[in-house]
Amino acid sequence: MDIERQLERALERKPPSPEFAARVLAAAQMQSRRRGVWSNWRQWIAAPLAASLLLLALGIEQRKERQEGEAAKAQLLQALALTSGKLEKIQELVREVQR
Amino acid sequence: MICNWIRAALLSSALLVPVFGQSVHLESLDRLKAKASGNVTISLDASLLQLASRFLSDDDADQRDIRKLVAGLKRISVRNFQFDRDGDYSIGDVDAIRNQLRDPGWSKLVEVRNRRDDNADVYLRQDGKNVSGAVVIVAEPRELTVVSFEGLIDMDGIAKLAGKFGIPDSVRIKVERRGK
Repeated sequence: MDIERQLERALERKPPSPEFAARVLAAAQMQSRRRGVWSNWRQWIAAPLAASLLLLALGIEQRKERQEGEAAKAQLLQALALTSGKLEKIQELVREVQR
Repeated sequence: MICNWIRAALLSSALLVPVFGQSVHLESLDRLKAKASGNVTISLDASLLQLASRFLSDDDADQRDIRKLVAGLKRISVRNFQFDRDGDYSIGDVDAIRNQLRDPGWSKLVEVRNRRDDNADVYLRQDGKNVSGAVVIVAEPRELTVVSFEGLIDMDGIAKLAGKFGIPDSVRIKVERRGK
């Protein structure tokens, strides 16, 4: 009998203490604040990192294009110089034939 | 989808042929590299020419003129071989290029043959009033040079560059006369 009463008392419905709601809200706010700090930290790192990577990729692409452009320019000038030299040679040959 | 692309590419290339004619192929000369003591191989297509053009200086008058000259070009190909001995290349090697220039679109502007076996030819291809190609062949006993320009050639630009690039006045005068 004694055990039954003890069980009834233990299982009977009791209203929560007046501070319970406040304690739950405080705990939730604390957790949210921690999450917010973590989330902001990641954003602060990720945004400049992404921007740096983008700038790096653009820089590499520009450098590659510049190298290719300079190489093409050198080839173009070499082609024209060679053509010029050979046209001068033709001019000499024409003069010789005309003499 | 792919078939449509291929069809479109074939159609566009077929439309381009009458305008620019067939390309002059210099690749047959590449085997001479094995015998040559030195060589220069340059192949610049339209995209490389445009890229090169962007890197030409605006401050340099010569380079500004070159940019104008290059603007209409589709390709520049150069083959230059130097040899240690006479006869390291044959006239057949040169004829392989000359044969490509027998097409009615091409006309020989200059032909020089002398006793020292220095041979030189300048060919031009004209489409109406436009000059759409030029080939220079200089065959010396120990050096062979072939230069091919394809695309619209600005003859005013060539005439302007004549002094700077040594383009002979005689060639320029003939070119201008033909252009009229």
